[in-house]
Parts: sequence; C-alpha cells; structure tokens
Amino acid sequence: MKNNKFQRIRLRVSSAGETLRFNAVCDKGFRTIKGIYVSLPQDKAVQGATLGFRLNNVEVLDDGHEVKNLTATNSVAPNNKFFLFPEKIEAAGGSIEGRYTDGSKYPLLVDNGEDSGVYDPGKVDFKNLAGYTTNPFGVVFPYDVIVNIWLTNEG
Amino acid sequence: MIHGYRFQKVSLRISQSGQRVYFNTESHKDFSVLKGIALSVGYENALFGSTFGFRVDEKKVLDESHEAHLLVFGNDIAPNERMLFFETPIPIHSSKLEGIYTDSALQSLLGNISYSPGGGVIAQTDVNVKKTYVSGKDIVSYSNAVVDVLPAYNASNVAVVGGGGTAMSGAGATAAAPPPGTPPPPVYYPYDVKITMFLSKQ
Repeated sequence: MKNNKFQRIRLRVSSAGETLRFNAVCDKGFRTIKGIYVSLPQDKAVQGATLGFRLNNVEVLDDGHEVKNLTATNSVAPNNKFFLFPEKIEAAGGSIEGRYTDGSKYPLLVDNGEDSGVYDPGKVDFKNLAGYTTNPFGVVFPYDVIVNIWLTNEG
Repeated sequence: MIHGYRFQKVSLRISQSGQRVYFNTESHKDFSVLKGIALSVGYENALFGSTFGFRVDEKKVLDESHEAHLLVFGNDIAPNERMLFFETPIPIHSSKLEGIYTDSALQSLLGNISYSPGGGVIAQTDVNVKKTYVSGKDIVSYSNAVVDVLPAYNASNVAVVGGGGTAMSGAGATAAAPPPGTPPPPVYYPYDVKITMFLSKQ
C-alpha cells in the first residue's frame, strides 16, 4: 500500500460571504494528517476567506484561520505548497468537520464603531449586501474550493 | 485534548487614516512558548510605513517603529515559511501579549520639503504623527512635516496650522468622495489587520 494519499474535499461557493460546513472521514489506511492545501480558482477569493476544521472533535485549525495561510501560488515549488502541521495529527479513519467562509465581502467592511479597533470576528461587520449579491468585487460565483488533505503513514 | 500548537489570533480593524490600534490579550494557558508571529494586512498599499510594536509580559519584542511589511508575506512563499520565527522561542505562561499597529496612510501627506537639513535622517523619537486615535476623536497632528501638496481626496479636511504643523481630520480622509477624475486614495478604509501568533507546548 502506498504511504501517502491526497484526500480531496470539494466545496462549491455560490454567493459572497457564504459559509459552508462540511464533513468527511479520513481514509482509515493512513495514520496521520501531514498537511493541508486549499486550492481556489480565483486569487481575489483568497482575501478574507477562512477555513477551520476539527478532527475527532479536536480543533486542528480554528474557524478564523485564513485561507491565505493554506494556499500558495504556482511560484511555490510543488513540495512546499502544503501547509505542514507542526506535529503529527493522528487521523486513522477520523472524522473531519470543517467550515469554509467566503471572504469576498471584504471590500464591504465597515467601521465597527469601537474605539479600540480590536474586534470580535463573530460580530456582524459588513455593510448591507443588497445589490452586491451577484458579483460584488470581481469574485465570480459560483466557484469551487478544493481542500487537499495530505495523509501519510510515514514517520 | 488539544494539539501541541495553536495559532492564536487577534483581529484589528483600521478605520481611519493614521489610526493606531492597541491590543492586549493573554496567551493561551496551555502553551509555553511563542515561536513566531505574522501579520496579514487587508491592502498592500496600506503597508508602506505602517508599524507594529509587540511586547510579551511588558518586555519589548518588536519596537513600535518596527515596519509592518517585515511581518507580512505573499502567496509566493511556502505556507510554512510565512511567519517571523523567533531565533529563540519566547517563554509564555498565560502571558500578557500587547501590540500596537499604526496605519501609515499619512505618509502621503508628508510633503516634499526636507525635514532635516542635517541630512534627512529623522530620529526615531521624531515620529511625525503625534496624536493618536483616541476614543473616536480622530485628531491627528504633524509636528515636523510641512504639507504643501495635499491629495485631493482629503484636501477639504486639512487645515494648515502655523509653524509648519498641520492638523487633519482622519475621519474626513476616509469619508470624502473623490471628485471626478481624481485618482483613488491609495488605501481604502476600513481594512483589517490579523495578527497570528504561533504558540507551542515545547
């Protein structure tokens, strides 16, 4: 049996700011998750997008984790494109629950009205999206996101 | 059970030209070292001249004039290299983490008159932006710069004060719509700055 597998989860994002929840089960033939790479078809969709996931109900990446940190352009060598987790994440058939949030509302941010400037990402902080539902700022909908999870038996 | 690492995040929203935003938070109690830090800034144009200072338990890690663009990364960098990794990880135990981000957009208002006849070197203590954003009273003043050509988009909000100083309404700088034909301002507000801190158990 091979030692490595790239398991893919494909998501379809249909509108600005959409949040997609997904579930998957890791291939049980592989012991650990080594890395992750998120593939997006449009550069403009990267800004502001977030992806978090839990494995067997343990947080691996929090929901506010920027997709920007999990992707790379074609200028990056193939062997360096994945974000490699700082430690071995035991996978072996574990269940993944994830959440992807589109970031294309980013240009619609509004001042949150707080003096400190530090804000709670959970708060509503976007302008009304009325009139921006089709193609607000250059991101074309729908688009597909492919979450590549690198499973391995090595090490 | 949690994993042995965590990316602790702080999000800041910069709403005004020249705004300074201070934050403090506590490091997650289960982690004992801070290994790295990175910034993610909404607009690249906002980077030049923006600064970010950082302290851990009131000990300076990055001084307030540390340039923000030294802490950001592009997508052309491998994901695992997108951070300033400290040569020696910083010990933390529910430590106080403090930072201050200063927006740079006032840079464009510096004008074209040399500040220092002694060679143009500006002492670190002579930072031009003196008054910071406080409680919504967004008054920003210059002490050392003479503004003789103002960008059109905020010209109506700038009043020249005697002695070479200039006062400006930061709110106006963002709210005024540019007249037709005027190039857009280089930085759009608000924008977000996300600070990611890499914590580890060892």
